Amino acid sequence: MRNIIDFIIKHQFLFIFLVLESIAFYFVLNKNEYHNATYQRFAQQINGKIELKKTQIKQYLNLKKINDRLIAENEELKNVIVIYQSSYNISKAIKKDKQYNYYVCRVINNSINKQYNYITLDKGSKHGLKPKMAVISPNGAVGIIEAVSPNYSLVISLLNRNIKVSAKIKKNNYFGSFEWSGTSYKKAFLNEIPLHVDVKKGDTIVTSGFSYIFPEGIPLGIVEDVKISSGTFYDITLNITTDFKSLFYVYVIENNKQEELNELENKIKND
Amino acid sequence: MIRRQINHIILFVLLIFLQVIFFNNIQFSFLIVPYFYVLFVLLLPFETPGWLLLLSSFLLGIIIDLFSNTLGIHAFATTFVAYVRPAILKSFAPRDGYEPGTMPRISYYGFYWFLKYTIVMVLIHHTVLFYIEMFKLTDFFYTLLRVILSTIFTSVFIVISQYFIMRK
Repeated sequence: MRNIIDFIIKHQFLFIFLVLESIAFYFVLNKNEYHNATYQRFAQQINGKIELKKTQIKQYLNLKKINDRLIAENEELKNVIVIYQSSYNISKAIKKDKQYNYYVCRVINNSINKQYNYITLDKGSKHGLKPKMAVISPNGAVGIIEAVSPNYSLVISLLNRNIKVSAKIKKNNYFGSFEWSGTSYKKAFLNEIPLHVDVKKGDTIVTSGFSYIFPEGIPLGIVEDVKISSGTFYDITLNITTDFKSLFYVYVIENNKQEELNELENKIKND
Repeated sequence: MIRRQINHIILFVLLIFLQVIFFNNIQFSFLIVPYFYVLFVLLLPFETPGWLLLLSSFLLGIIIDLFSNTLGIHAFATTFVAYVRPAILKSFAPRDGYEPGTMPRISYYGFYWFLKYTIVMVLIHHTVLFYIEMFKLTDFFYTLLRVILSTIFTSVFIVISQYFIMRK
């Protein structure tokens, strides 16, 4: 303590100077509007810069957390996109040229665990449904109406060993035949794709529109595995896009020109 | 000795009057504002103790501030120039130091010595004063011009005044 006092007395000239200048400077900053405003602005600027740096550092330290969150969000959005894209494609297909009418139906019975699965809908001939109409969901194709009663209709699900749908690879239009695997409600096969065709895991398979039942471009599945076992065709395994386990509302599609086309084709066959 | 102190107190009051009534009102332009009162710091005896030097300068500055509504600015500059005064006097000292009993005046150390001393002191005072007044560096060269012109005018007034007041 004494040392400090000695030190201050020894340098009293400097200390008095500093004290007086501090007082003067305090007056400058606080008693003059202009200086006060300038000082405030300056202090604010400095403060803002420090805050900015602080936030930047904080952001950097939290990058991993933010990244994880973004990945999760991305995943969610991707799922949403898939739904929207398929329903967009469907509505596009449906509205094209007014060739197709569609009816919204509710699924009242559905099975997925048999070899020959059927779905029952809550609308029938009274509402305009007829056999051979296509049934789709927002995610993709569901099946074909097999029989109708006045109030109900029976649909052959795609999960049925008896059904085959004309399908094509979306990106290059090579067409083959879609067939259920019979082992899982998610697995199906795409047959008759020749070996020279470029097909990879992740490619989308859609309906070809050749049967005149399904409009063109309704999603069927996504390629999961491509194998060459024998012969001239690939063994392609698909992941079915429609979630048969959670079917609730479906669309029934009526092709207005189906009869005309059938007639035309029957003519050729008869000849 | 006591007569000398009374003389300085009279000088103190006189300089405040002169500054407030006369010099604060003769602005040739915005560029030239002479601050004549700094003469008080210049004329204090060599032997003035440090605390008295600083305190009287601070007091002078504060009073000028009160009259010109710029609280703190003149006090800051005047205290600053009082603080550097001993170092400047030391650097301008004759070879064998200042003789005891003499004062920092033209009559003791000559015109050139006094002119040098005045210009350096006034320049320091005005530099601090004008830059504190501006309080930013954006108009640096404009402020510098004001400092230089005002220093010239204040120095001229101070040197001339030495031939009118306080003869030996």
